[in-house]
Amino acid sequence: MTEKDGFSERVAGWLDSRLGLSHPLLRPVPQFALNPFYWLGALAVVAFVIQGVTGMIMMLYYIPSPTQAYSSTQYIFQSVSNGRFLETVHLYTAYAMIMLAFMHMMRGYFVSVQKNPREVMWVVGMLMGFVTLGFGFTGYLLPWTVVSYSATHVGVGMISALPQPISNLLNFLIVGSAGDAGELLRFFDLHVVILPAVLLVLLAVKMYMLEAHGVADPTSGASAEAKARTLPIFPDVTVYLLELSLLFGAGMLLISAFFPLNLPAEYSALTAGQSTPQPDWYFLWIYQVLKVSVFEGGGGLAAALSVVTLVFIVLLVLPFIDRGKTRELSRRPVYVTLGLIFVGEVLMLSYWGSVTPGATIPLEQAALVIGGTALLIALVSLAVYRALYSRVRGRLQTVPAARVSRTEVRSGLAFAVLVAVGAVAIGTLVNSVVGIVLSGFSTSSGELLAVSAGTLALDVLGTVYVIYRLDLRTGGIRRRVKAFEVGWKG
Amino acid sequence: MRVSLLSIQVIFLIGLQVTSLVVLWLMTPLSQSATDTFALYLGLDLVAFCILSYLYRSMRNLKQPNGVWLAVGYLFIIVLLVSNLALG
Amino acid sequence: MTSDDVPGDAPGTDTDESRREFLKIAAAASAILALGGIASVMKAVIFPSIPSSTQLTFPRVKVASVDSLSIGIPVEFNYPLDNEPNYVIKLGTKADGGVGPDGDIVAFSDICQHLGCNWGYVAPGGSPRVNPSYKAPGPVGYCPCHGSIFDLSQSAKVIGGPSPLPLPQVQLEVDGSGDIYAIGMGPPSVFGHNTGSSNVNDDLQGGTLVSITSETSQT
Repeated sequence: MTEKDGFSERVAGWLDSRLGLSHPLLRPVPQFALNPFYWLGALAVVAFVIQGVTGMIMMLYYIPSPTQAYSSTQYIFQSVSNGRFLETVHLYTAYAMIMLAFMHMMRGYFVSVQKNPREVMWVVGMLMGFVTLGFGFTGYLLPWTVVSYSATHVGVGMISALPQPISNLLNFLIVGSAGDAGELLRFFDLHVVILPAVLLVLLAVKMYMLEAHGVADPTSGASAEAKARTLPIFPDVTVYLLELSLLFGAGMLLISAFFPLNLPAEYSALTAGQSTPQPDWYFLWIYQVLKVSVFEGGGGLAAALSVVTLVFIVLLVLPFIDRGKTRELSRRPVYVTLGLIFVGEVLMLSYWGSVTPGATIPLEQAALVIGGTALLIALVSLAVYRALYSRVRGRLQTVPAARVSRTEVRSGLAFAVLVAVGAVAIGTLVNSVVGIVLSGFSTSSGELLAVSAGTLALDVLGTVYVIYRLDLRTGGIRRRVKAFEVGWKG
Repeated sequence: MRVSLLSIQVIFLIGLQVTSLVVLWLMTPLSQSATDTFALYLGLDLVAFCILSYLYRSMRNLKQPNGVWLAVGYLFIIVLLVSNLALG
Repeated sequence: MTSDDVPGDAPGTDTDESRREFLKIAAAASAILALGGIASVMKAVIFPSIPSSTQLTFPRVKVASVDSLSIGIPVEFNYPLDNEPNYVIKLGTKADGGVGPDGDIVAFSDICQHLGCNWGYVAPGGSPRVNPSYKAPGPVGYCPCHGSIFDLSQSAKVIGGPSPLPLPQVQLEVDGSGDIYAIGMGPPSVFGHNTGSSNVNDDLQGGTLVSITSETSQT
């Protein structure tokens, strides 16, 4: 604004003229896009970068041979500096990447980003999703533990049930003809070189299209003025992404600290025979479908795989199925309900799969549970639509009647959080006081007392503040506070 | 010089970061609990930067920082501190 | 939530400007501190966890038995770390530091002291494959990389080539039943362990010590 020749301005100017930071490749981002839901895809990429870094460090020690895979993994766990923590972060970030990709897809679906002109972006994004699942599948085998070998071989076995040209191609890519050693090496190469390269190419294509189309407007539309209020990529958007990434990183550090990994036993035919193979959680929903009794026997596997493939194909070509022009949530009750059913089914099947390892599901039970979930979700969703939007002429129409105001929702959430935090803080405070009274004062109990008391104090302040803000609308409290200020004229 | 809410936050956050940095560079994480402590202090460092960066960005765009996001950030810091006690 | 709350200064005034400067500097400092935090991760991952003050001792590992060795056939074994090869050889002639009933069983590190290549055994009168014109005057180790030659009957003294130091000799011990054990290393230290040092304890750092149940292998 004022002093253009201040030190920091000069440094920034020098950097800018050399690095070209104020002429970034990407277009400025509209203000409304600085919302975490718009950045789920970016966070998935951040997770991918974390995977790359942790993976590269582990690659210095890992040996992709059946005789040494487990021992080298064990070496990482036991003898490498913080190796166990590296492995833990790598696994949980992998889970986070898959979860973020899924959330990114569902968020995009619900706000209809896949409509004109972003249909191809959706397709490319789905392909990236398949690659991400591929990462999970190939990475899972590498430690060569009982669970990983068994689960992978169930998956690999399914390849032979696919139709012929695909089956041969996949066999060549994934299994090869050199037995276990060849297979592990292919899995390793896929996981470390081929899939990352494919993902990066797809990412480049998607980013190019994003640059062409820009960020999708909110479903309620954005005025030209809102779209014109943009922020430059550097520094504003970069810093925003940095904030989100570091928060995500801190979250992963927290989870990894709480749930350090334990390496399961090494694979051997003997131990494998005594445990039921289960795929990793993100494949459980597929696996559950395969366990239904109607898919038992000869052509059963092929039939089951066809069903699953059909689901993936539908997802892939979704933009060409849903040809409606409208993007607003309120105008798409059917598609939103279908989306909710999909999410509900995937969650339900995953949970069900985790509690029924190795069991065959009778067809009647499967039909009841899957159909029942779908029906329940459909009923609730359509009922909510009815409640929120008034009905005109017997059809669900668009006039939004009793809309809950955003402020009220936000204050409600704020209160919920404050009450929860307050409860925990009070509980911890009481606990620490009792602990000190009973077993005497120590550094850790002192710290706990300080932290819980501090949290409670902040919580009380927060509650008072929220009440103050809410009351601003009527002005009651503010007037009374202001009345004490000297010189206030009212 | 009036001590504003902003300067209190800034001083607290920078202080948190300096403490974390000192701990991170001085410690050698040899055991699982030491690794946990290391990770949680690193988390503190990062989250403190995020909050400060958010304050700076809000000022840059001449907006008031949204209290909800600040609350989320500080809650995260509290969770990290408490976890340190629970685990370390 | 509207922005009509805090009765702050109007933008553009001096106090607001100093606030902006303050926050800008604070944000920059914060960024540097965050970077410092991330940099410390490198330190945690790269530097070894095992503190070097831990007292380690040379393990006692069986490497062969007197009966299993034939004259002039080296047997490879790892010692003291599980990824460092050595050769135990029955030379056929009495040698410095040799054990066994004829005092001719010696063992040396297979890692050349010049640049870390693996040398090979050449019997007296024989020639190494890489240099057919050289005739060994006695039992020697010939390094194929740069031609260092070690006299294995004289504690691997350097008798040719660029190696600055002799090979570390593995200290052997034969027990009553004819089993040969490696019990230590003589100076100099193994290549790569503070190369050139005369402190043999350096050989114990930087890896996993071979365990007592490890097997030996024929070359």
